[in-house]
Amino acid sequence: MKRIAFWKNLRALICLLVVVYMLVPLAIILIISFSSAPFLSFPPPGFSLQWYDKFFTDPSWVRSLMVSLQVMIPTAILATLAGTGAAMALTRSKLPAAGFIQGLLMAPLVVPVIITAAAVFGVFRIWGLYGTIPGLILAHTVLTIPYVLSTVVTALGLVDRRLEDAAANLGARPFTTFRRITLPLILPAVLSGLLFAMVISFDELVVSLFISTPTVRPVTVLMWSNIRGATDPTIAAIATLLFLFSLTALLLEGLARRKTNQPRVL
Amino acid sequence: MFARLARDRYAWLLLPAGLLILVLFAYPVFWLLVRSFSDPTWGLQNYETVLEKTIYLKVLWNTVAIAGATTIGALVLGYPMAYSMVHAPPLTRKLLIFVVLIPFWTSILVRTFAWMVLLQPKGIFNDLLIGIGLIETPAKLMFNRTGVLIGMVQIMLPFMVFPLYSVMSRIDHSYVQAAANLGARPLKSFFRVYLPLSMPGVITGSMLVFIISLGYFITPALLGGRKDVMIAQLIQQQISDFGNWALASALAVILLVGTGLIFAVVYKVFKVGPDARL
Amino acid sequence: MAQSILELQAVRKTFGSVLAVDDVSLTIGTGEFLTFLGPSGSGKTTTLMMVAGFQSVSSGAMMLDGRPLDPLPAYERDIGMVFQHYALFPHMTVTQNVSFPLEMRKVAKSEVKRRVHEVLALVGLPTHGDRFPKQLSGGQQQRVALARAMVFKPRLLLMDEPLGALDKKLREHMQIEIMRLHRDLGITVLYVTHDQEEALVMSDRIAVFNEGRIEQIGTPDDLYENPATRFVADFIGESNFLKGRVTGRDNGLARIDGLLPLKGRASPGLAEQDQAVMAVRPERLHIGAAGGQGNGVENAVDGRVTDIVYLGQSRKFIVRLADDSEMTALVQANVQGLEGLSVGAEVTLSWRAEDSKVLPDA
Repeated sequence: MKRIAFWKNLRALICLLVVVYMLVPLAIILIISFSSAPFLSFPPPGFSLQWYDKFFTDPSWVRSLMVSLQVMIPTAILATLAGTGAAMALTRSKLPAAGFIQGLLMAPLVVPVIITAAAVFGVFRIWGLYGTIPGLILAHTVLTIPYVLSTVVTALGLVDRRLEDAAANLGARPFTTFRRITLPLILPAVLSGLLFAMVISFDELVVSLFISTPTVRPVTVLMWSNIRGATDPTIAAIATLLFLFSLTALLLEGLARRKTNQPRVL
Repeated sequence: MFARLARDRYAWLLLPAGLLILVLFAYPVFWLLVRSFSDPTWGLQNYETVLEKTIYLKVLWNTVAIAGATTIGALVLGYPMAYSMVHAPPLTRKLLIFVVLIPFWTSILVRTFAWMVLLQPKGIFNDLLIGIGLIETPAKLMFNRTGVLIGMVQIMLPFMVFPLYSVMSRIDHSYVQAAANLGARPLKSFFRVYLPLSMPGVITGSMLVFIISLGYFITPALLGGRKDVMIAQLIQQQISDFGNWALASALAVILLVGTGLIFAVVYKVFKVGPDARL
Repeated sequence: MAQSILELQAVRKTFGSVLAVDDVSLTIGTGEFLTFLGPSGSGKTTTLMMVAGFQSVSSGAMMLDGRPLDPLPAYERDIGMVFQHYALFPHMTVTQNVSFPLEMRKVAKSEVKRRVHEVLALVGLPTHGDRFPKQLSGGQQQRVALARAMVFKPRLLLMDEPLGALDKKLREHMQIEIMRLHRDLGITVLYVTHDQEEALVMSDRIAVFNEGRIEQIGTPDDLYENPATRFVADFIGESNFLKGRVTGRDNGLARIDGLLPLKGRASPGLAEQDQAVMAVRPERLHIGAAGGQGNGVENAVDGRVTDIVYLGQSRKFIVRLADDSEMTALVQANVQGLEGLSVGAEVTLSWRAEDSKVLPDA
């Protein structure tokens, strides 16, 4: 029995270590972002909101925040519409090679992002989309479609097809069936896809790094260029805001799903 | 067949997503692929360059070594974690899932920045170690392999834990009970019964972590030193700093083919794929 | 029979190379209750799905009120359907579910309200309109499904194993309710079940499906008394089967020679020397101590009792014959004079020729 206790304790120890390992860096960032010190130090001498203040008053940060938002919202809408449509087509029509098509649509998730980034950068320079908001939107849409697609395809698989049959039997045309029966049932998944797309677009760095210019630069790219040398606590403030944004989206998404008992996809 | 498809109303809904992916993803990747053979003239010269020069070979080796070490690290930490998640009481389980999930949804940039703050020579971690008297001069934890691995393993852990968790939670506890009933001591029954049954999760998780690590960019670039350059970083440098599309595209194709091959081999040999995750 | 509503003409359905429904022809009269009965995979549900318009017909024709049904999509067929597991819309209340078909038909709001109210009262759920399906019991969901399928007064009501998800007590109760609604409202019902008891209780006529074909179609009484095939004799009720070769026919009776010479009512088309099988119901067998002939009937076989099963109101005797085949006799509990028959007893089973039927042995 002693040996079992040893393994059990070891397992508990590793778990504790993992919990600390996962959470401590975030906690540190959170704390530092409220530091009153003029430079990075830990523990901070006092509490202040100076770094948040700096973020929201520095024109270059504010400009990049606007770029991020201008990219995020159209991206989320486009990806949700296109992804949901494709999910309907893949599950509700008799497409030949549906598996292959789904694989192709999911490819941006599987192919290493650096490759997508380099490839998109190459053609966007030729097409004049390099360094433009529409270019960023299009690139982010391609990156986020797989998330919407997989979420909605799973949800559609869980919708009892007999409900759609029943609607037809009761006199509903296909579009009415979609609007009145299918869409309400998959709505949590669609919303969760929308939130996924928002978070991913807002957090995206690699592709944005390639196709943005100093005049059109999302928050993450500006962070990237400031992060390397300096250890300015402003970055901690932005990181905290980014984290809160993801957390809110995650909680909202969980809430949407709990309402309909949809299982988690990713 | 096309006439039938045209009448199939739902099939039309594929068009927007299909066009977006074809024009903005498939075509660019194809364009990059072609460049690796055609820039500056048609031929295999770009691949020859990569495979002949030691510095590039070193980068390829770094990539595999770092991805491999990350995979092992994530497995060592992830397996006990997933096991505990499955066998913990509901509340603890929810808490552990939350812990693994939260960083998963935090931007990688944010997490890497956190590690930079923690690991730098005058960072918190060194202060702590000196404070408790474990070391006297600051240890070098950043801009080297140690830093890269600390950052990478943390970022990859969810990709290891969730496939493991989903496989383990489907293992019927009666197998372990049967093994005990048949006289196997706990450790023996773990190695003979539980571990083999959880292998699909181990394989899927390891493959995911390894493949994602191969193409990783942000963490090694920020936490690694000059000796820890990985392939993705090299591609980025070649394009952004030198405009060397010829070499960058060849490297990209090597990365793409390598990733695809691992997928294919793992799928063929073990009959598991990324669809085995949650 | 009254005027026909639905007519199927040589309907076939293939899935790839698999023949799911083969040459099914039948007509349903106005107000009739017709049941498709058969084991799973026998083609009964596929046939129903073709009528509803969820499956296309591979060949043959379907006519509703004399008009071809095939060109109409499901949503223009105007056929009510109660689905297996009900298919109630989970995100809509009872009222919204039942209003749905009326909304699709653009019925005026006040009229919708009146009719929904009326039909919910009819199925005994006048106060449950605001509940969601999840908040209802299985029996209540069943009633809502019925209400939704009837509210738009379809020409024909299809029911696909509607009681399959209910427990035995509730199922028997709902059988009576559905029969009452059918009788009171004069709806034409096409009912699918694999439960032969349910089919016998509820139907005007039953179509027995087997391997994609209709084996026999007729009233419950007719199917029970005059099964046309061994399959029907076996699937509806219980039967004992005795094999033999036809050795003679007279007066509607056939003689077969197997273990013993036996006599029974001949099914049409049976010729001499054909391989045949005699079917006889367990409750038609008379059981007595061996050698005690005496009731002067045509058929008798000897055997040994191997098991006795008490069923409360009756007893089942399992008897092994000389050729090791088994026969079952069902005896009412109040029958006297069987005290000596215990396991191991030598007995004689006897029955009248007209209580048995000689069928071709497929």
